[in-house]
Amino acid sequence: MLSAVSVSSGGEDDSFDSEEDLMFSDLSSEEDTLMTTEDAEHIAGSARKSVFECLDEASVSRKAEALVVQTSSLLSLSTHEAKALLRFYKWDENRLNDEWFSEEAKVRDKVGLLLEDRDKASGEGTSTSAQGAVDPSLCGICFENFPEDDMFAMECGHGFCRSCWNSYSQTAIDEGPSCLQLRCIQPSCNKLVTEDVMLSLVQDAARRDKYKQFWLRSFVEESRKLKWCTAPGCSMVLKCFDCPASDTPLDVRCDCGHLFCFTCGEETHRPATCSMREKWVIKNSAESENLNWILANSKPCPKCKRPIEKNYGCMHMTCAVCKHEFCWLCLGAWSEHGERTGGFYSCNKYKSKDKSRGADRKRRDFARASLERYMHYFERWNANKASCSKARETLDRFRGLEDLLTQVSTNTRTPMSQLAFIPEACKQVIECRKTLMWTYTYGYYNFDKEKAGNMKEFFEFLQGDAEYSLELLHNCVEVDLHKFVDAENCGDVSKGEFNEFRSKLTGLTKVTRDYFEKLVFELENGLEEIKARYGSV
Amino acid sequence: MALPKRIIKETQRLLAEPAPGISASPSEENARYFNVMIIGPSTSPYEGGVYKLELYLPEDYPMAAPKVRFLTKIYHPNIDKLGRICLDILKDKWSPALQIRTVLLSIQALLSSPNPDDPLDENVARQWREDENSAINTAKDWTRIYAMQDN
Ligand SMILES: [Zn+2]
Ligand SMILES: [Zn+2]
Ligand SMILES: [Zn+2]
Ligand SMILES: [Zn+2]
Ligand SMILES: [Zn+2]
Ligand SMILES: [Zn+2]
Repeated sequence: MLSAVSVSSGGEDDSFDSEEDLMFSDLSSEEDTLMTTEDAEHIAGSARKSVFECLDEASVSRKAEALVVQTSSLLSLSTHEAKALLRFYKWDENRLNDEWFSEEAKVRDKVGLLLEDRDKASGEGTSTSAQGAVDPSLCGICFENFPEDDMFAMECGHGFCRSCWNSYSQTAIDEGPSCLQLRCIQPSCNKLVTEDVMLSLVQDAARRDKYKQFWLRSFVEESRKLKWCTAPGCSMVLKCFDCPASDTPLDVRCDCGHLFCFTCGEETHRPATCSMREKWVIKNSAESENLNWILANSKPCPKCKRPIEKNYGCMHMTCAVCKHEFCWLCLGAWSEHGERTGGFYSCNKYKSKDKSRGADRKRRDFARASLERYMHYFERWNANKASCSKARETLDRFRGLEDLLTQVSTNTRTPMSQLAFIPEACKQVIECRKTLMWTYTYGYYNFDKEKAGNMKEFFEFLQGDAEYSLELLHNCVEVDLHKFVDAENCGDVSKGEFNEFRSKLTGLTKVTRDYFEKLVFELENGLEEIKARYGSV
Repeated sequence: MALPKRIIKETQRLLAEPAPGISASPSEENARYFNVMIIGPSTSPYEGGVYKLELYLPEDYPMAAPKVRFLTKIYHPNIDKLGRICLDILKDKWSPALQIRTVLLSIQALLSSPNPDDPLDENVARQWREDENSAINTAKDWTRIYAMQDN
């Protein structure tokens, strides 16, 4: 049965037929990571580490600091000023440098950094506005007098007492991330309250932490190349080395095991694009109303059980399949109804309405056809979604309390270290189910009616191959495996039998992975080529 | 809680040297609550009207802006039916260096120059943009009906 699957490619595929030793040497290197982390490299070829990396908060902070230090030396500014500038330019050092070197004064003005000595508002402190006379010891906020040491002003010279500066800064932090761009207390003054000033004013530890966290969040959330892991409670950051175009999905896997699309932050959805995924999800929720309507307006034929949709007001129904005539209300045979039951069930009424509603019916038929087309894709999308969750449950059983693997290990007298291929296969199933799901979304949006022509056929051919291989793999990991789980059956399970299972499952995993890689590759990159080759003549 | 020196001083000055066309006095029960009257600026549709407002200094004043509201009905694109005022210094442009006096002067200025492009009441603002003359007439009518209480 194995050879039937492995026909697709030559050479390397032979290895799994007999040379299990090769497989083992491969696996033994994975021993340590077995069951503790999900290794990106081994899953359906997606989420390859080379294009992204996973960072913890500390290393993200170090990266931010490094960028700040580098910028400050390039622009000959303090690190606090460099930091403020970087934030303003969304941490894009190239844009910052370009604008800085072409129009420094303008940039300084926008960000709120003064040119030394230039904007000094000497003597124009708020004490003037309150009292009409300059009194450097009077704070214009609380109207108290202070010794000089208790007054504070930034380079702009607007002096207020430290206590007022302190409440001003704290209030800003309490208000949220906008505190990163807090300006001088003096309303007419544009001077930015930089990080060093803020931290010298605010002593409260909780608020200082919050302020530092705002900086980190700004760095992660505003840099194009960084994203928080979207798993609940995970604080890791994914860094993408080469950001894809806005609608091009990029699968990334956090070290916590969570897999998501870097571009849109949602669950992975290749080969569908991010916008396709979004449209599809919206459509599903919108159509659910229509589907409910159909369910509410259809009943199974009392004879053949096929769902019948009630088209018009009349209660006289005729099943399109078995021609059984019945009453919509009581589901009784129509033959039992007659004059006695009155005009409510009148067939004449039905006919006259039928004529007058010809146009209405046409519209209905069209709506029905497009709904049926949608249903075709939705049902398959949904079925694969369900299978995907089933496979996830199975995978959980490999680590949960039931721990199927330990049982298999005992029953087959095989060390755990050599069983990695089982969860591996299961992960492959999950990954492929997910991909298969989204190929239906892809199909729905790309192969509309006849115009797709041969491309649609080619797509369905690839999809069919992949799906067939996946069914075999899924069956093998969910059904065949159980022979080695139940102890009673295991008494006479020979080592040979288990080895056979191993090579079958390992082989199927690889073949299926190849099929899916090919499928996704063709759909994502090959469409133009397919067009050229098969052309929608 | 004792009244901060700032509030005491501001109050004293508001009473001793009131700004032209504006009066503000603290209520007897609550020194943070002010009864305010603004006289409709001349050459505005509100000329001849006397507008009552309430002003409240929240606990964190002056770090937070005072809360101000018109009590007299007024037809103005930046003031809604409840008398709430759309004014930047009462929101994100607030600075603790501003004072009650500055706020009230700004409101008075807002009566002189309505800004239908940053509306609070969309219906009023639309009429202001589409037919300014009739909007001004409505505002004058409202001034006569609601803000002239000689009767
Ligand atoms: Zn200043
Ligand atoms: Zn002070
Ligand atoms: Zn994570
Ligand atoms: Zn996406
Ligand atoms: Zn039937
Ligand atoms: Zn009946």
